[in-house]
Amino acid sequence: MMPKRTSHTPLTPAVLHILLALSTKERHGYGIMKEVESDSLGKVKMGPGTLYGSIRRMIDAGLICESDKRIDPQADDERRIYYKITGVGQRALAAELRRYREVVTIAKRRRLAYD
Amino acid sequence: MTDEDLIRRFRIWYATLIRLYPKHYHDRFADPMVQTFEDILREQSKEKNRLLSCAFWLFVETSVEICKENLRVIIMQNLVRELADNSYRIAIGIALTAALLLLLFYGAVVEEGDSPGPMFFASIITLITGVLIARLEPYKMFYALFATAVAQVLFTMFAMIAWGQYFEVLVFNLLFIALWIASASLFRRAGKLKGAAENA
Repeated sequence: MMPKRTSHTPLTPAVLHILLALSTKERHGYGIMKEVESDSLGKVKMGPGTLYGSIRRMIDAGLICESDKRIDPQADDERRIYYKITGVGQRALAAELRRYREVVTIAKRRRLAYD
Repeated sequence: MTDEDLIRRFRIWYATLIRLYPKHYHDRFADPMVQTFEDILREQSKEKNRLLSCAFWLFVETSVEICKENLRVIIMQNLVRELADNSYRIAIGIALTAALLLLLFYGAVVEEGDSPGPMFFASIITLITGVLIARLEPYKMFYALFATAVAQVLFTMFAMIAWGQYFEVLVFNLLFIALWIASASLFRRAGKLKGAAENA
């Protein structure tokens, strides 16, 4: 069965990784950047321009929002803004991951993936 | 100069660079962007990596995003809104037609084995620079197109002196000067209409 397509899927790699990074907890920009780098084993590297461009688009699309939490207890800097995933974002992430699973299933069926 | 001094200096430059973002974007993201920029450099410094190459990459990456964001604002917001006005639509049409004709002519000349030289692009470069500064605002577009017409006049004078084919050069360039001026006048009219609508 093909996954149900939501209006937000397919997601761009940057958006997918940001949603993944925010799926476990709220993070600020640099925290998201580090998590994305770690999740992708260093393959996806974003600078502040790309990151905040994606964040702006994702806020406009309702996938994420700013959190009320403002201050990082360790860094203690009020300029930090935390972002969190919304319900729409969680659904878009789930739909995208389902889509990926379907693609992998097809690839396996065609013997394109051998793990 | 210590890493701390370098970071402080880069931070000031970065804060200046991101002022080139559209205002609403700058107001919303300037502080967290500068903070993130500083975080990255501090980590590089802690890991004893080269700060200069990292800062250079961050400046280039952000500059590209600034261009993309400004273009998005120009196209999505200003153009869509302004195109509702007939004068504005015709002005855009004339300017685009003139630019396209000019480029086609350049292609034809090059195909024949001649090269009109870089001065040929004076008006096109003026137009592009003007449009970026004007961000498609009708009144500012009037000045952009007027400046383009002036650049075309200057090119005409240069071409007449350099090439000596007075009649052909004059006829050819008068056509473009007329098109730029026609477009500028329509932008001016669109600006006046917009001003009147806003005051009403």
